[in-house]
Amino acid sequence: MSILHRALNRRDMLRLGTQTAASASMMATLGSLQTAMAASDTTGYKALVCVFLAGGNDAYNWLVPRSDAAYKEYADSRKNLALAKADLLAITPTNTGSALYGLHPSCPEIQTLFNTGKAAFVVNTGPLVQPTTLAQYKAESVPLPYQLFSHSDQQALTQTSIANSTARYGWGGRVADLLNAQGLRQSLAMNVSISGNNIFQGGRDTVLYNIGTDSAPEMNIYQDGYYHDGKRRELFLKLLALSGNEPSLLQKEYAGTLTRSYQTAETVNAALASVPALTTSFGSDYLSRQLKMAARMVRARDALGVKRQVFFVQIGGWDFHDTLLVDQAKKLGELSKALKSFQDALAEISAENMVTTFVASEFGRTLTSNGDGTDHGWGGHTLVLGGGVQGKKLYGTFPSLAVGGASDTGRGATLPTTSTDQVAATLSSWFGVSNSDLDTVFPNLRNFSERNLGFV
Amino acid sequence: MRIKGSMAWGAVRSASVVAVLSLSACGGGGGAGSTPVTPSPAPTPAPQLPVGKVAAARFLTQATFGPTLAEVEALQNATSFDAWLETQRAKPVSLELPYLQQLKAAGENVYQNQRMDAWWHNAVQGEDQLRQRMAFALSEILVVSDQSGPLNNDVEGLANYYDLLARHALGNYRTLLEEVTLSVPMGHYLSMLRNQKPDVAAGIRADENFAREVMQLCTIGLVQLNLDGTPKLDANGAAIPTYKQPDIEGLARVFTGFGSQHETANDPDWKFLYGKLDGLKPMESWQQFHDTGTKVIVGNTPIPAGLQADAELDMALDVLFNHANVGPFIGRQLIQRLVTSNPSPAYVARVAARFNDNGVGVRGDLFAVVKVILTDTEARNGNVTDPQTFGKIKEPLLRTTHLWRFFAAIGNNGRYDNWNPEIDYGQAPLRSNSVFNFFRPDYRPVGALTNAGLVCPECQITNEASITNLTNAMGDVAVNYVWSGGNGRDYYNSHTIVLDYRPWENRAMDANLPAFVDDLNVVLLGGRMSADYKSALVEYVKTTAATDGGKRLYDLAHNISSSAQFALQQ
Repeated sequence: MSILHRALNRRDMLRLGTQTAASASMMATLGSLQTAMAASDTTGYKALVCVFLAGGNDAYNWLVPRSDAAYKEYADSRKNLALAKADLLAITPTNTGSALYGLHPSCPEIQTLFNTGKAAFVVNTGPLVQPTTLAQYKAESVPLPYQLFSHSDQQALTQTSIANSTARYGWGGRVADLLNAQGLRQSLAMNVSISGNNIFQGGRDTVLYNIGTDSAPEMNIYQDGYYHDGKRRELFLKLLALSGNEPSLLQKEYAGTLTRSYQTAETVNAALASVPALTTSFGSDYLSRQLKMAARMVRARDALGVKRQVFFVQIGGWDFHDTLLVDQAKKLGELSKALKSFQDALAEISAENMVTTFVASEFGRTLTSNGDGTDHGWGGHTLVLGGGVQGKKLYGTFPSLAVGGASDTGRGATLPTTSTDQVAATLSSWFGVSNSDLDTVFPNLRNFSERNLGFV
Repeated sequence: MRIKGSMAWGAVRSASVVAVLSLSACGGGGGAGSTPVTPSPAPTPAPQLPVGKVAAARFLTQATFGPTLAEVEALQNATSFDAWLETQRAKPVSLELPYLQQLKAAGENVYQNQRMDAWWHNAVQGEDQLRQRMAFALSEILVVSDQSGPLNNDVEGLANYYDLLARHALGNYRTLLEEVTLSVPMGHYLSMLRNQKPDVAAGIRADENFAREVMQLCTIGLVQLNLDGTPKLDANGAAIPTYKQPDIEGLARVFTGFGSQHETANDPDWKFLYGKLDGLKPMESWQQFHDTGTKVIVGNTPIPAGLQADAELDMALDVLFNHANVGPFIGRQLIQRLVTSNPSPAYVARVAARFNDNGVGVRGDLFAVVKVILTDTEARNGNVTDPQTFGKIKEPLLRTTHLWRFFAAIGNNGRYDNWNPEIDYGQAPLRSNSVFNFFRPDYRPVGALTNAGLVCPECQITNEASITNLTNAMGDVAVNYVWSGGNGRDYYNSHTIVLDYRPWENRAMDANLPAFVDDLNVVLLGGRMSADYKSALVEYVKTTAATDGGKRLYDLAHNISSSAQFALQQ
């Protein structure tokens, strides 16, 4: 396989960020960037896994307060969508004093992971440009995230972690740009998607690599025989090479993807085949199959020649405008089992401490009901899992769930108290990005006093 | 909505800067219907030249599910595309529902598989190609999907929804919008069905789903647009939102009170929720479940109190339909579905102007819109004037229909039993994973295209994994064939869709081969095949014995259809 990196020069570094409203303040940090170069820690192996729940998970029926007053507030707001208190699965966070919490009844696996210290929640997270009070939100007196409550836009805000722009590059991609610029050299792209193209993993200088849930698909022209012989392969490559002479940039993009695909697949599959199969059993649902591939890639890390990986897996179906109670139970049950299998598999291959998983969604949903569902909200919860996670805790500030209360921006859409930037920066810091580089990757992070939430 | 080195190796892409296309606007056709009182001396008419073979093939690739050689040859001597367009407009509509009902009458169970069969039938064999191509484009803008439970169970309702798109594909967008709004499949998909007026005591609001997405996706989009599709900017250079959250809440209350069809004039209330629901008929209004309070919707438009649900819905749809954004917002997307991913602002403006007024004062005339899209100078000449940026990646479904139409493919059983194209293609008709379609109109892959400011919607479903599945699948399409000496692989499966290579065998003989490749170049590649491509292909095909005509045609069909050059429509 050919493994090529153009060495980035300082000028490239200066272009590293994205075009944002914050670019002026970003420039101020660039002077210190050079001195910070190579400060990132890329020793050993680490992987981040983004599990994205597309559609907007109803976080407030995922993690529910059980203390009497807080539960009453919850039930009063959620009305016919409130879960019965007795059905909640008790979790026992060590940092919430006398406040009690429980999980949706379909999440016993997450309950166990949490209570055994392998998982934590960061509560009421969401895109923010800066810390924002309810009064500031209502008066629009501070910069607010772009196109709040729209699926496509909040997915972009969450995955770029730059709330006040239509940034082009995701934070996973920007971390890869940074680490590559600082000298990390590995044979396979840092960003691997098992769920197709996405915003999160695209960088300015680095692309993401897509793999299937079972393997990297290989061209069947490589199989000899009547229909596919060696000469056919030569012709395929010849025509592909000729396409590069033609002017269309769209065709070049297509040909580039096709080239990467055939150049990469056999090597990746060989690496996957070179390590023992996992004995941990996974479900047959799409999320489980994706996470199984992530675990296989982790196991094959040495054969793949990688020290840092970011995986993206995704499942849709979380847009619960209708039949919330039935649909969410099914989806959360699937999620809970898949996460358990994944953590079990990491334990099987002794990689628990090397892998941190975070479960994110574009927004939480309204606390109020539209009949039998909820609409697009803002704040939600992020679940983090892994051997390195300081688990059994709730990070951030659990919001008031009262309609018209201190956190309600309207309809019971909560105003986030922790920004996605802070979550992402904490994960990136664990991943090896130096403290000073965090400001380059997350241009709005400087607006928040707590740069590291300490959950990992 | 319901959701109800090689460069992979982390390496660097080269930036390439591309001048943004900026054709000056040229006048559209003159307004029909006005007769000058004093005729001025007639100018000498420009000579009417035949459109030519390549131009005919390019046009038909944009306007149909892929031309045949005969269609190209029939059109190449025309002096304009007008007659073809008018003929297409007059063709009877090919429909899915009657086909499914016919199967049912013959005792067959009808599932989504049968709906796929119906879709392929009309795409490959429908005489009304322009209408069908437009219907498919509209199905990717006004999205419903069988991935939602209730719709998965309502095959006929979904087929009828697609038929609705086909019926109005060359009609008026306002009519289409209303029928879509009231259709049971859309009612299910974006949960407007049985959406009730707020119940303050119970803490229940109106469902915002349809209200939000009908604005964001089906009519006006998120930001205010100029006629040419570029965003209007405020004093700080920022795009201006088209609407805000309160506008959504107002519109959500408009869309209350639509549910089951009435059985009698005095149905009890419970029938709103649990009464008869025929997926083939529009939802009906129930005034007692409609919010009759005053509302404010987009553009600070007040809706007075006390209106009937139907009247209010009409009023709100009029407001959306008449919004200045619709022409550029929908027009640009239709250009992207048919012609090019990155139309110039001037091209968008010409199309939007025609949406706003078809020449005789009618707004929303989709035939006038598609006519200007296809005959615009940019559509016709973009391949020459801007070969770097003009064109689009062909959707995988369209690549297959293109090949199937050229080679008159049909299943051994007379059907098109390609039931799950989404597995290899990443798409299937009315089978998106969300209301945001298989890809977004503004999707831009990172790297060269982003750096050049270009979008590539179809690239969203093109990645290292999917592209090889698709390439292999194209090979699997071409390998099922019949020729005079026998059959290709898998022929004996009754479901196999078989390409007919028999008419072309003589043309694959050594002496005829170069001229045949020239024809394939025109029809399948729009004349973009380089001399090197041609000679490499001819040389390769000749390594198969001339007596094995079937294999030779397979070689031609497969190698062309799996090449990157075939993926581009220009």
